[in-house]
Amino acid sequence: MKTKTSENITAFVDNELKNNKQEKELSDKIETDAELKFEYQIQNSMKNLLQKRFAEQKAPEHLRSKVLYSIRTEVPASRSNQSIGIFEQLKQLLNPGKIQFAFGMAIILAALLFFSNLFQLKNKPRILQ
Amino acid sequence: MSAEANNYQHVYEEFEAIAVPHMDALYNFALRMTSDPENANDLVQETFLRAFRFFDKFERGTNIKAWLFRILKNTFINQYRKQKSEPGKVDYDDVQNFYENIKASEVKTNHIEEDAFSKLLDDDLSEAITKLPPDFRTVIILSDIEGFTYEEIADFVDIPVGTVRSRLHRARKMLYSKLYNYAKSKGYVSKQD
Repeated sequence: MKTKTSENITAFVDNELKNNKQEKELSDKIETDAELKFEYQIQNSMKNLLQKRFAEQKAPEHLRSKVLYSIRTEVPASRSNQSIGIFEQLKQLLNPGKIQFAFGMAIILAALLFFSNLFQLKNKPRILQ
Repeated sequence: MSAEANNYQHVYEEFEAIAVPHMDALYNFALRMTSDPENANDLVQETFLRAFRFFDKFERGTNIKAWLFRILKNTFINQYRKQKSEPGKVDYDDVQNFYENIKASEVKTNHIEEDAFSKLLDDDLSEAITKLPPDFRTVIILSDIEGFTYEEIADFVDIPVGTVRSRLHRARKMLYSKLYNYAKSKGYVSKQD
């Protein structure tokens, strides 16, 4: 019961008690009960202190730019290549995964060419002199 | 420009028009939750990225600010969970101990006036807020710093209004207890009081 009354004090401080009669009753109790008065003072002083000491700060400009940039570069699949700049197309081409894949393929092709040449040389009919 | 790119441009413009204007409020909340400007920046950036990714899930016409706050709160909790072993669990015994810590009979009422706390630095205050369990920290920031109503907080945090009131009540008591001890240790409150 006491806990409920204490929590109602919080709502009273925040002007969140929607019932005028309840507000009046609680206000009278706070005046006469030392413990409830103490509760009221704690709730009220903490609310005022935070309101006074923490004014709203604006988000830094660099954060705003960073967020807008990251959103613009997000979900590239839904964008056509026409709509993205040359720099980004180049970045996609120079993707490390793609470079490694191309390099691997080049090595495999070179190896195939080398072995096929070797095979041809081995099987070449010798010309009798 | 292709139809797909056109559609993307439309989504981007809508997001920029209705979500980005709430960045200041989100930044403030993030700053108070993390107590660190760098972490606050990361948290806000991650929130907007997630919000943009799931923008098609946002129900048009509903409260976008509440939706963004929910994403930020969940992102923060997820990051917090990675750092701590059992962060979701609030130790209610600790909360109860806070209640028992300070009793009306021990404190002269003039110390409850802000005079006793006015000498505390903003850093002391920020630290005391940061030390509150996340669930309690969230409601006290949203109510006393951001100025939201119980109903708005309930919507942001996805809890009943009664829980908002109860957590706020406890959060202020915990904060008072911490600040009182700080003030006492620094000699702003005399020991015999």
